[in-house]
Amino acid sequence: MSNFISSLFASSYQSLSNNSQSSSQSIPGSFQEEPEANERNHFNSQSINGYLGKAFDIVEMIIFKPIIFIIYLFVRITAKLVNTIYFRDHFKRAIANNSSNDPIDKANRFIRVLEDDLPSNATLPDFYLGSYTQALYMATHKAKFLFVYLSNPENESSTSIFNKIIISPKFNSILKDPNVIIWGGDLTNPESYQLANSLNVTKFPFLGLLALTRSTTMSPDGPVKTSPKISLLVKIQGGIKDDVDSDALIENKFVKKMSKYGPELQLIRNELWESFFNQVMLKQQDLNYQKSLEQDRLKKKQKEAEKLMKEYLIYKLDYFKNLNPENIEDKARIGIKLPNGERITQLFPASSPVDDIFTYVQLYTNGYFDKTFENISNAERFEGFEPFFKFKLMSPLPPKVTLNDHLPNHTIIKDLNFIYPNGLLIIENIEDSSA
Amino acid sequence: MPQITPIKGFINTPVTKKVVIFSTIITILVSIFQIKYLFTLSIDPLILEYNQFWRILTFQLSVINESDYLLTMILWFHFKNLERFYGSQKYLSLILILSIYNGVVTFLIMSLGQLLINFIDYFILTTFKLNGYTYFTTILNSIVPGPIGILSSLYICFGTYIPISYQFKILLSNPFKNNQENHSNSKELLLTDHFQIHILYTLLLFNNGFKSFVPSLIGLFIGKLYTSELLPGSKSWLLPTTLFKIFINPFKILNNIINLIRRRFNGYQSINQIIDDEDQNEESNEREEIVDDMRNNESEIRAETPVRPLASQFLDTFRTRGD
Repeated sequence: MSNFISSLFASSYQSLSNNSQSSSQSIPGSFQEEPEANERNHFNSQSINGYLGKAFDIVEMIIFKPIIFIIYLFVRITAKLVNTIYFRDHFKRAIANNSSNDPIDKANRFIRVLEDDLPSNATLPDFYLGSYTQALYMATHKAKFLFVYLSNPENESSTSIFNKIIISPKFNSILKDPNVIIWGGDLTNPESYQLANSLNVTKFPFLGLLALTRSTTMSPDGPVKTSPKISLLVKIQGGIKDDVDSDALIENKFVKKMSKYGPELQLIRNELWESFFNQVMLKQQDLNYQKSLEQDRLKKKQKEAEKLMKEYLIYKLDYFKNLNPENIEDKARIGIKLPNGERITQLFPASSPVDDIFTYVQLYTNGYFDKTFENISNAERFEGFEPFFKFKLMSPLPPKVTLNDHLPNHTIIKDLNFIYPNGLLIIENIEDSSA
Repeated sequence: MPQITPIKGFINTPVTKKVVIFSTIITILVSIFQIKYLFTLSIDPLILEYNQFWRILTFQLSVINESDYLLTMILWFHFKNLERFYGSQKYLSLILILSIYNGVVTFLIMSLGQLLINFIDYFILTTFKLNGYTYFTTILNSIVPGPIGILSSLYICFGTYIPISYQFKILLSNPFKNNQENHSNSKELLLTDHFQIHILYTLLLFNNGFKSFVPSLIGLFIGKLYTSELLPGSKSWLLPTTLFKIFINPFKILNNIINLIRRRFNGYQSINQIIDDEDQNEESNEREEIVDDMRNNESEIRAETPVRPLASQFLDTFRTRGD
């Protein structure tokens, strides 16, 4: 068996080598010639392969391509159908709109639609620009009357309430009151739709009046007022007939209710304002308390710092007392002019920081050199301690450099040419702002 | 019991109420008198041989099986929302327009579609020089009776105009596994508050196989045309008010006519009575509102009072109330 296979392969190899021989006979560099189909061997492997390939192409054209096309068409149509039936595009668009549009935009769009229907001589009331939640916040926290107008242009009587009431001069005069606001919404807006559901609206268009109300109940301790809650006082829903007098309707429905609930609402408004004022007062008191607490804390801190400063000075006193001018090789001779006109001269090592000058002046002005103290402190105590001085040391010659600027950097005396090798400094007391 | 629709019962939705009542009555009558055959529509024997073209008008009037009845009723009930949205008169006009369009288009598609399929068959046979062509009936031959097309169109209106209040996701994969990776969309089901209607409609769509699928598709197509304002005459046309009133309140109109005739024979009558009749409608409206408010208050009170155990409920019955 294996022999047979190997002989087969051998023969095929041979034929290939024959071919290569024939091609090598042609001019070098020429294109390799196509092996000619031998008339004698019509059904060789290559031709069979070619026919099969063609047959497969035809089968593919006739059977597979249409099947794939049909499946593709079917899937596309099904997808389209599913999208239509379950409103997926619509839904996605709604989500996109919700995320990108703010309530003010929605309110503006609603008002724009209304303005299109507006007759030329009428004026549109100022609709609240914002979401219903914001309008409701105004109504509950500022105790205002809130008119709610819900409509949609698709409705059969969408213009009736609008033409009869909303743009009538009487209604507009009601809305002139700063304590009355009106909010409008289109029914395709989810917020208005939910509002309509919660207000149990059964017909559109809808105009309702909301306000804070409370009832008084009798209890053993006397009459008790319930906490105010928002409620629907009066509503108009559905179309209004043409023969209805709109002014009388407004008078009967809205003006009456507003005059009935107005005083109570005014009380609630005052109470709300009072509670708001109380809150502000409380906050103010709290703020004042915090402030005084902070001041106390600061004072305490300052005292502690002063105490530490004193200890520091005493600690430093020894250093200056032991400072022998003859031992210093590189020294700065610095003259210091006190505010009372007295002038002192001191030698400092040129490598010591400018802090030492300040410390010395402080020690001198405090008169510590004449006294003796028991030095109890050690260097560890003053690690990280920044001594502070309530005076300025300045060079009297122009440019008038203030030595305090070099304090935070602990500049070495040698680096400052106006005090090294010698210089004059005058003391200027800093006005104590806290005192 | 949670409320299915935002409107309680049939308050201010007379059209839906009448549609539901009439559909039920017709369905019952059809069953009692065994006249279901009057409402079926099929092209081959009924139209082609017997020329019963009146079936185009009747086939949408009644359903003839129980599951269809149930599904259509629940959908009509949900579409109360649409009546509120459009207003009763416009809603009735819309239903009529959609029924006319659906009836005609369904009939055309059924007959022409069947013809086209037969023609294609004939064409193929003749081009390949094969004999043996015979006329055959296709899936378009007969459809299930009932307002399936109208409901499909209304369903599109519902989805377009009634906004979505909330949505929720049902994860089909383990949420705690691969938490960092974003969940692919295919592994979660995004549903909205309209999902019950989607489910009901899907059931209706496949309830009778192709017999309900074909009219549903046509209805969906007409609904799409309507919502994109491509259906001629559908936006502005309104049913005349008198016809609307007859549909809404047939007994009242009958009563009025009888009264009118009686008045003719009885001679004089005081004017007040006539005016009273006119005002009755508005008064009933007002009364409805008051009843509505009362119901509201009741539900609020129920919501505000804490749950009381049975014993205290008994005791409260015998306690004299302070007010």
